[in-house]
Amino acid sequence: MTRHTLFRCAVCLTALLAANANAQTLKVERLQLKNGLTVLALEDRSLPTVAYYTLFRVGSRNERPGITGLSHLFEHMMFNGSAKYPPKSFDRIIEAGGGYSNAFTTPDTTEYYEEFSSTTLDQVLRLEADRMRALRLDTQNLEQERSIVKEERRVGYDNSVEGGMYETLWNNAFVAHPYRWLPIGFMGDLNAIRLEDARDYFRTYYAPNNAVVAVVGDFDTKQLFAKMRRYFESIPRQKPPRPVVNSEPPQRGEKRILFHRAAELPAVMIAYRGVSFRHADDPALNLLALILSHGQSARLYRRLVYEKQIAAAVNATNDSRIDPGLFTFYAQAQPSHTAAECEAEIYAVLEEIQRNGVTERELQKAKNVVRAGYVDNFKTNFGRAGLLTGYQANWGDWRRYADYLPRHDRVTTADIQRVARRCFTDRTRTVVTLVPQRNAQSGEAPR
Amino acid sequence: MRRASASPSARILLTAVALCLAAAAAPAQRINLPPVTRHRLKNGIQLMLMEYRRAPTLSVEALFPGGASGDPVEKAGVAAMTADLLKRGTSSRTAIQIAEEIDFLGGSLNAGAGDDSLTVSLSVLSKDADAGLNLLADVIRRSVFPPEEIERERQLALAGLQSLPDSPEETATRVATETVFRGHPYGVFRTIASVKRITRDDLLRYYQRFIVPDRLTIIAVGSFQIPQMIEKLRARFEDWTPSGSAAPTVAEARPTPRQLVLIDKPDATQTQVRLIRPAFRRNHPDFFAAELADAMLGGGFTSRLVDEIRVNRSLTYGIGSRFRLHKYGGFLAISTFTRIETTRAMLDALNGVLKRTAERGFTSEELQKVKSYLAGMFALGLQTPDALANILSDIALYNLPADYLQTYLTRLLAVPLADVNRIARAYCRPESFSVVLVAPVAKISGQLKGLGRFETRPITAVGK
Repeated sequence: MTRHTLFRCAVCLTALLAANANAQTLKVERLQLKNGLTVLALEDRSLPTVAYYTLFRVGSRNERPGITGLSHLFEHMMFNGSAKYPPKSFDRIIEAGGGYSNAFTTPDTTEYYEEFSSTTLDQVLRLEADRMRALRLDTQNLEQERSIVKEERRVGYDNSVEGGMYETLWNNAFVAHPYRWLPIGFMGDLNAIRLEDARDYFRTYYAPNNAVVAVVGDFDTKQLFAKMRRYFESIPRQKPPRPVVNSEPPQRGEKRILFHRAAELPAVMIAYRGVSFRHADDPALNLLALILSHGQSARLYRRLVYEKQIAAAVNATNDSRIDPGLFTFYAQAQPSHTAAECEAEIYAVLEEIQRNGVTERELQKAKNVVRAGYVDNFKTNFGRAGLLTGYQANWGDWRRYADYLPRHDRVTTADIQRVARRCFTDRTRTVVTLVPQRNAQSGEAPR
Repeated sequence: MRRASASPSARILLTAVALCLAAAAAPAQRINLPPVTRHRLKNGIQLMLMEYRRAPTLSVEALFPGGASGDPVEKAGVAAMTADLLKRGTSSRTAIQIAEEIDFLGGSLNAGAGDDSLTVSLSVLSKDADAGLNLLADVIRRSVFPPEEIERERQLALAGLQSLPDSPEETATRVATETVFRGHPYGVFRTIASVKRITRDDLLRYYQRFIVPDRLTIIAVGSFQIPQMIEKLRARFEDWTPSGSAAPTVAEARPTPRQLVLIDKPDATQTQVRLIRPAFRRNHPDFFAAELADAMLGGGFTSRLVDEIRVNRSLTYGIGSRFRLHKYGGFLAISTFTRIETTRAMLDALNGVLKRTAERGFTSEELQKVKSYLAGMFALGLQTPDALANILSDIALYNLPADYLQTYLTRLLAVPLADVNRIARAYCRPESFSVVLVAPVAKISGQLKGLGRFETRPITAVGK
């Protein structure tokens, strides 16, 4: 649910470049419907299957206090019937067509996808058009998914030490920006969301002009476009959603939060202010995250886990988004070591990079990791469909994928040192320290 | 995310393997995969090779039969620690050098012990095949088990075991498996005590007995020419002298009696639920019938469990069933969770679905739909070199027919309703399932009245 769209797309992209010599000439055709729906088609007849992917430009970033979690709750409601299709028919049709469907919600987007036998394509187009036109938005749908989503929240955050820390980190790192809550939303808001809120959401954000569709696989593009026109073009366009205002004020001092939870080992999460994925420094921060924590030869693993043996796990992530996100760290202490030791050692590693930079070999290794990772992701129709919708939605043009690898290849060791100096300052830091409460026995056995 | 069930990730990768994936009713159900080339090196090592042209990658698995089930009970964890140590120093490379080399390739080199095998796997870009295979051969053949590296891995293993109570899901799954395989090596997991007892000699003994060419199968899938790949593997493995060590022997798992177990997790706001019962081994004639029954019971979004427990009753976010079949025995398990207050409602609902399934079986309509579903998922799931290497590895490990891949769909689609319903009757009776709950005992006891006596343990006792 918190998977990051852009990162995944970026991963897909390099795969393409590495895998296909003529990657720059991906034969994507674009159809712009009168109602604003953008459709991208990539024919690949090598398999009798199709991936159908829809991205709506809405995520928890578009929410407000009182309805946090609605984007994701809404994602669930999208599978429960529409004007022409009763509840449960969506999954029946997809699964009987030898396929599967799913969806996920990020802070910036909500994305739906299915893969299925190409003989099912026409049915899928009708299903998709009908739910974009006239989703069944009634109390039964809302209440069914409200309970399910609350269980999702319980399993992922309320009963997960790391999930709870992660939520606390974002809750506290931001003051004004909606990134301060996660897509899962607060339990109180999940209880309070009304049907009317969902209806507003549907009208505003599920309009064709707020969506990008990519279809990749075994079909004839001409026929596909004819059907897209027939099924989708009469869905009315809506007023564009109100832009999200980023009023996040500058942070002027470190924030430290103690997080009390039943847990066995101490842990710490640290966040620094990051950048937008459109920022010129985003690739350098991606590579820096890899230099810090990809594999057992990475700087943090070597120092904290291997040499000092104070941490059982450590990682670094550049979580860049439409608006500036966070660059985050997580470390779990080894038994008999403390979160404070791990925290201090992470800072020592960062200071070394700020002072002395990284080696050419480290940077090349990170670039190799980026390149190799792409190959694994770009082989699939699903992967390519996600890539196309992501670049179309976030950059305004699917062709921008071609910039991704060059943007990373241009990064120098001087860039890495510069972004490390700029990003890692204690005044813009937020630290969540886990204070473990020992697990204890609560009562006697039932009879 | 819409789904978080016990079933595999919905993310399916798709590549250029040509295959025919018509609807179940279509007459021709064929998968046109590249052929598997089998070759035996002079020292007995089996090679299974498949060319895979779309992506410039190479996936290799070295499969050594005899996994964690070969561990002495009091030293459970030897196989896992041996696997961890393979990458931690050879006669020519330090642990750091190994990590540095594989990371620089942007590849992965992993070793892990399963119940029936220890597998070392390599994934690199094809252009790095030689460098990757050099590393693979080095960690397999020339591992030296440096004492300080053993202590490092021991500390990490102990940290993992100590933090087990922080994961109610993992705890529930572990206790359920211990319960269904009680008295059999499959039910023995490493503990803090057993990991502390393991010595370097134990690791060396395991290494010398099991990490040998005698029963080794190497699987390679990638964009290579078969003769060249045979040559590369021959150059790195054929001069490895067989040990003559005896093949690992494991007894068949015997059905265990039903048990009710409650693991106390006082701070939880949710109950983790596992229902589990003995089944059969992987290489069993009922495999295909079980696959179909499993998918109808708790496989996709339209399965009975998802439909009744999640969609109709909103009792959970994730639920799934799984026949998990090993070489010498297996089980059927249902995994889910619900809030504490609805634990009894969950157990009653599970009981209802199972009872109905055992008594009335599945319908021919359900069977027809699930055949289409599984046929499609099988095809979609075969399309990366890693996935193909995994299936070839299963063929070798479980002695599946050589044409397993090619005949999978035909055999799946041929299963009659009577066979599936025989499975339903034999394996879905609710009273045949052990129940494992992880929940706060004080808050849940009242809901369990009338279900029988639950053996109760604090969560902190698991894995100790």
